[in-house]
Amino acid sequence: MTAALGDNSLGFIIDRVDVGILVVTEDLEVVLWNRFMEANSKVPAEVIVGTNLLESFPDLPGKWLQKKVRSVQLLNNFAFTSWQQRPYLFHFRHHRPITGGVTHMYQNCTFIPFEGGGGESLVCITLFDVTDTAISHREVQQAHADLEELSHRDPLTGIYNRRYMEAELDKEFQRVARYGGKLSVLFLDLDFFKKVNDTYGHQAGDQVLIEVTQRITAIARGTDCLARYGGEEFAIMLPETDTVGGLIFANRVREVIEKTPVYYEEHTIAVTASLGLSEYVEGTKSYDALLDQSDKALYVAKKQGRNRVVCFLPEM
Amino acid sequence: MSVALLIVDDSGFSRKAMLKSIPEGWDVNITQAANGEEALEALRNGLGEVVLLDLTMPVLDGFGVLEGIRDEGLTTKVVVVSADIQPKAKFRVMSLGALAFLQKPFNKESLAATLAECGVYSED
Amino acid sequence: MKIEPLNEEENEILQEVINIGMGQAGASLAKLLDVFVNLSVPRVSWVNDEDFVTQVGQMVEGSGEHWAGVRQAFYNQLEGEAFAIYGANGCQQLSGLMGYDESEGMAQEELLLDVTNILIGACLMGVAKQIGKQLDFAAPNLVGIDKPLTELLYSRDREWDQCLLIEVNFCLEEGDFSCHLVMLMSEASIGQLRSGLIEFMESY
Repeated sequence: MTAALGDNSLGFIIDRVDVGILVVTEDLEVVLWNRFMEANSKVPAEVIVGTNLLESFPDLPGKWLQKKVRSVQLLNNFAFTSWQQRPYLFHFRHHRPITGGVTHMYQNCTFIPFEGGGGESLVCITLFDVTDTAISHREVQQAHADLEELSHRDPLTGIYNRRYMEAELDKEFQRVARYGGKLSVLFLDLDFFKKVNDTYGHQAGDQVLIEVTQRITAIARGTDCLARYGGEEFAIMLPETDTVGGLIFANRVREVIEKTPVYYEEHTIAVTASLGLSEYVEGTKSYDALLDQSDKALYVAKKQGRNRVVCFLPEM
Repeated sequence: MSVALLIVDDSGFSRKAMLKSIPEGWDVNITQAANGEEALEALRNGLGEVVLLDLTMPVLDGFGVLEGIRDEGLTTKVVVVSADIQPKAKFRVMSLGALAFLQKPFNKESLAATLAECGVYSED
Repeated sequence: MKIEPLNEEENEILQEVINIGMGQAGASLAKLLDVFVNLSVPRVSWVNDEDFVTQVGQMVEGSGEHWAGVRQAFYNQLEGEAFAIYGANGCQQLSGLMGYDESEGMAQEELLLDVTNILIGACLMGVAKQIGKQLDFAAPNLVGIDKPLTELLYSRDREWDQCLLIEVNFCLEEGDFSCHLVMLMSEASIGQLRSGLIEFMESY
């Protein structure tokens, strides 16, 4: 393998290769310290060789490192560490002084046991700078999380969309059906919304939707789940809420919408909403049934003249 | 007078390897068993004055065979031949009455030496 | 390229060679944890890409349950990928046995990687040494914790039709730690494996 190379060349390569290489004894006394280690730690080889590694680097996980080195020797087997579990072994600066985004160099390490020239048992530790890998991994994960969050949202109003809300409602339904508790669902539909669009234009309609959303969000609890269900229809899941509590909330929602008109450009747009409420009772088959009941109640509210709240009754 | 030798191993290859490694000129009458149950049956029928016993086997393992020998009061000399090289495994078989522990992979020489050590076979 | 599967005799030799490798892996684990390790009879079979997950499921008995999995690749004269599959309860027990400090974050994940590396390293090195083949290992990586088997063994478009599957399992005498090692060797290395097995047989 090295026939054409003298000892000098090997030493040169080990010193200059773009990988951290150090060799320690079982008591962590440093035997070899290459240039990568020197440059990144600012500790020269002539200072550290022959001394205990922990003297120069008191921040190293000493107990762990000692155990690792011993077990590698005991079992005579390689060992690895990955940045995903242990971001770094040596706290080195990263090589992104300009582009930044990280606070240290991420490292993958390999521990290789071997026998020294005098029969002493040694461990060679190699250190790979994987900062770029770590950064792109983190960016991909962030992008994933962002996309997932986006896929839950309605783009116009920023509140949840129908799909997400139904999934949440399903979970809450299962929980209540199994462990007991209260759960109500409120449907809301803006009255004569088509007329708003026709009279003032779609941008005015959008402004109404945004403002209604803001008004509801302002009075909802953190645990309530507000979603734009479609067009001018909204659904609100109300955990730990029975019909009495649901009615109080529904009427406040109706009032904050009716009380103040929406101003758009020079127009003053009066808005009202009809609401249908239903509560989970034992025997409610599924979250679908609950949605269906609220929808029926909403239909009745519309029929009775709009701008009102109606609770679901079995005879509907 | 030939010695009744019982070879117990679930691996056919391993039994063959043992057969091939038996010292030449040792006058033995060989029976084979592929698991612990078969081994105990052979022992009850007097087919194992000396046993070469594997540990990791289906149905009944080598530890079970040693316990069976002890519980039934069978008279035999057991040499364990196993790849289970945990010090505790060796300690266990020795305290269950095995005479020796031979580590796999073995060869002719190590088998002969172990048998000689136990006094069941003499090299001359 | 169509590779002849191992014949019965080669299979038997392989099983014995694995038995020896497993013995060495068990001894390493015993040394590391200072416990007694119960070894299993190794199982060897050929699998194709379609029923590979099902077969592994049958071997670990309970594909519906959740497991932790670590993957490690091996290469050189033999090549393939090995998976260590751990039962959910066993993981916690390991931390205690290793004397890991729980306050050190990530301890459990790192521990699984360590133990996997030791078991796979010792087992396959044991096999390779017997049959005179060279073997190297990539760093292990965690494929999941508390996941069903189908997710742990999920792979993208598999490039292979058939491969050799080797399964051994280790359990500790006390407590409920158990680990299944599932080693898959690619068709490409079967030629090397076969020549090594024949040499090993002839050494007797």
